[in-house]
Amino acid sequence: MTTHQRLTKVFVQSLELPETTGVEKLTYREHKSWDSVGHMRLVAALETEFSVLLETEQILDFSNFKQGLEILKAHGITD
Amino acid sequence: MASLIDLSGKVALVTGASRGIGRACAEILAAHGAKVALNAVSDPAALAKQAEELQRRHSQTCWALPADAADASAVTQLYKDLLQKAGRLDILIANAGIMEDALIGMIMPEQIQRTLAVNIGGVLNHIQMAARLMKRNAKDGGSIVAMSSIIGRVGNTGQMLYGASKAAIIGAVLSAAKELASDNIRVNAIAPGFIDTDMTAKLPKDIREKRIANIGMGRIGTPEEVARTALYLASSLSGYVTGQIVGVDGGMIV
Repeated sequence: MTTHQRLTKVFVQSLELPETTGVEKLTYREHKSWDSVGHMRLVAALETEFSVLLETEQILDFSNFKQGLEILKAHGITD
Repeated sequence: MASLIDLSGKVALVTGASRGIGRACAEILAAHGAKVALNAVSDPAALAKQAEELQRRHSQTCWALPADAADASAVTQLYKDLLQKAGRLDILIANAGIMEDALIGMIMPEQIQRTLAVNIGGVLNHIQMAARLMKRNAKDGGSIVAMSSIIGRVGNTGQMLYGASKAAIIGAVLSAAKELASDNIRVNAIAPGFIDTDMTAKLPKDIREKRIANIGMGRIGTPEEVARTALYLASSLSGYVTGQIVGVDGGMIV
């Protein structure tokens, strides 16, 4: 599975979204599932899936799918 | 009779573990089967030696993870190291603290900054990171025990700054307990009274005797007596206890 696919799975499972959801278009606080509680669930799921520990700044900056990929890249995770 | 408390498979982190109450907490957790990470800010070599000795005495894996609790970046790095070494966290004893007594009007701004940074900033830094690791434990959750003080509950002359920092811990614990309960993470505080540590050993003899005279049980407490309460709060014996401030003070009146 690619990083993109793994991150998509993290979004769908942690935010309890239908698999058909276009996660790349989601923005933090603009979807009912992605509120602050959902955000911390998403962060925990991402950290577990990729075995990383995000900095507080990264948690706050993580506001869309693309940012998620950037954060993973900063942790050395790319395809 | 087998012990009621078995922490086998659990990983504990103790801050301020090099002496006094923190040292006693590390000892009792390892003695009951936990793998223990020791944290302190000064003398990393001595901390490493302490971890080795603890490991040898209790046949438990122990690690030394030096870091300043007041430094958020250093605390984050500590948790990255812990995750790499231990793979999980079940118990946090947030014990690191400093005490500098001064009368009102004689407290330096630097003292305010440092005391709040260590005593409450450090606890906040650790709870933030520990909770994130404990959430990964799913239904097993975790237990966070923060070290407040009787002074944070009732105050004392010459201890406005220390009392403020320890009262702040109580506020943090009460809020964290509510926020983390749904993740099965319990958060409690201990409010020790007059305990026989390096911190209290510095007091002049007359003040020491006066304080002991105000203790219902007529004696100073030991770090081990505080550690036993920490053990109870860390274990499943207190599995339905959260958001509590437990006094360990022998009936002290301040």
